[in-house]
Amino acid sequence: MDAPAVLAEGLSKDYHRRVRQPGLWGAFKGVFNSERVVVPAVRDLRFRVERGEQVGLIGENGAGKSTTVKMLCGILSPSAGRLEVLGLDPWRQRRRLAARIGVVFGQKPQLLWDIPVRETFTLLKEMYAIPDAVFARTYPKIVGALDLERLLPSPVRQLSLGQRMRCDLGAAMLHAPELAFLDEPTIGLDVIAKQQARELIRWFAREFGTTLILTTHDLKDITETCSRVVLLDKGGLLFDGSLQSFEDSFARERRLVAELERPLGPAEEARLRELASGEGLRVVEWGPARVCLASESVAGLNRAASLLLAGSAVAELDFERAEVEEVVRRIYTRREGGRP
Amino acid sequence: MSAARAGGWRAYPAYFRRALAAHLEYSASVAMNLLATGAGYAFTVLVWRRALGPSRAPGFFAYLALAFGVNFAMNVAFERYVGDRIREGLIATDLLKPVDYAWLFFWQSLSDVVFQSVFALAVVGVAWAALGRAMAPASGAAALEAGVSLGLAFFIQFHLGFLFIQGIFATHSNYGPFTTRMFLHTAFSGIFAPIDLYPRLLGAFARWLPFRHVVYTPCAIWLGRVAGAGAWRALASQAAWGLGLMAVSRLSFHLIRRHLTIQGG
Repeated sequence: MDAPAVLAEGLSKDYHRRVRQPGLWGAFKGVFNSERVVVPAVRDLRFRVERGEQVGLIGENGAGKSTTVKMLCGILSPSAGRLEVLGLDPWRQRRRLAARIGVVFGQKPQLLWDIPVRETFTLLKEMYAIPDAVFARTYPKIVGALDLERLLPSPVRQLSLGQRMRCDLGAAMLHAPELAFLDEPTIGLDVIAKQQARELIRWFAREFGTTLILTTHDLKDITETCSRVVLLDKGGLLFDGSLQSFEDSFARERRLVAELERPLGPAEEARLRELASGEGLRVVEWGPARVCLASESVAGLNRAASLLLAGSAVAELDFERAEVEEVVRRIYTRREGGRP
Repeated sequence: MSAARAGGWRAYPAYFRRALAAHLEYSASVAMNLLATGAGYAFTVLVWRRALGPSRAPGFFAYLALAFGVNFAMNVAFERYVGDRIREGLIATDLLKPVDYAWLFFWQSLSDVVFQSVFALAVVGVAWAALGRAMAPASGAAALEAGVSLGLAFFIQFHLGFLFIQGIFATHSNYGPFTTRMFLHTAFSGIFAPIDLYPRLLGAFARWLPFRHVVYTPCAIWLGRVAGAGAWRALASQAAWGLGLMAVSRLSFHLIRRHLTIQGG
């Protein structure tokens, strides 16, 4: 029987950080006497991911997501605990594991800067010893799905952030990894490219049974690709369950965002405020160029949308899910007994 | 099941070829570097000529020309490159590849050397035309031994760089480790004068360090300043230094990697 894709027991990671006093005098003192503090980034994390699962790893900035992923990849050594990825010890068997995983760090490009994208892909074919039969399936699929054909002859340094991200995602998936760690893979992508990226991720899961661990600040990435959510808070586990139970518990709120061509007239504004109050819609933003209302009731938001469209002030209207940070913030607020 | 298995050795030549191709993007920059370095070096040679007289020491000037060529070819840029990657956390993406970290940059550095050798050979060719027989190898055996010595010189140069660059983990900047190595290289590799002409104490110090093996040893063997059993001893010393530096630099990297911190997403 195959080992689980990921098995973490009591996983912890501490960083050691120098404390600097403010100002020039503080910096000078720090040269001779610098205090070091231990910053716990991940604390006693326990979770298990089965092969073929698609897991969204979410949390606020600094919650420990990226540190966890880096430990799972074998880049960082855990301070404590037991970790097994695809049956290997990531730290001790980094190279063996690297051949079987695909990784995107949204903030850290892994393509070779000076050579064309196509050259990077053929280099990766040799580096990962990708069989021709697999390459014949993954390469055209990646190029087609992410619309990379035009970018292939360009040196990476000439690409925009979004173009580079698409190429990075393609590079990470080229060898059809058993397990993909995608850390903010849609950062810098436009709406269409995000959709293309999500479709590609789903294709790999379907065709190769790729296990997915996705960290993102865009909740839509998770709802469209994952079936399970792991929520981290201050390095610890706050929630681990199905996407459905997560949505039922925390992420039911939708947002109506109206971009305005002109400020609302006094009568329009009064009617909208009255409706918002009556329907229990939460005002997220109310400005001359943009109005944003939030609610778990889609019907209430629909009525607000109809009211806005009846006037002539609206340039663009959109329904959105809350950002991960917003959802997480509300979870923390609930946990601390505050008002959501 | 993933289709991939560990890349194996064929990954490194593949990386070498791409890195070499990438250098072509910077041909103009390398040519500028050659001109600037060459101008600085020519200045030194002119001062030496004034001090010694041009006809009195043709072997000495042949050595200087050869040393310039070897030094230029061996000027691997990976320290600054890797240093920046460590500082900016991009080492994370390097460690994700199913290849050996040190060997990957070894092959990249080899591409530096191959590329820069083209420029260096042009300079040495011009010097050979100007200085004539003084630039020729002392013998066929000397040429062969010098070739082996050049290979070992690169091996030492790379592992010295790989060792010094790890200082970044302590200093958080590549400036200190890089300038320290450059000072030691400039002082003790023999780029401005053969080590056998150094004052006694300085010469003894240079012989205790590996830097002479990067420039002085291959040049001295080529020109016959070190010959016969002395050449074989020099080659053995180069091999020992190379293997020793490889072992130490890899062990230290293994230990340091445990303390790696990559924050910021």
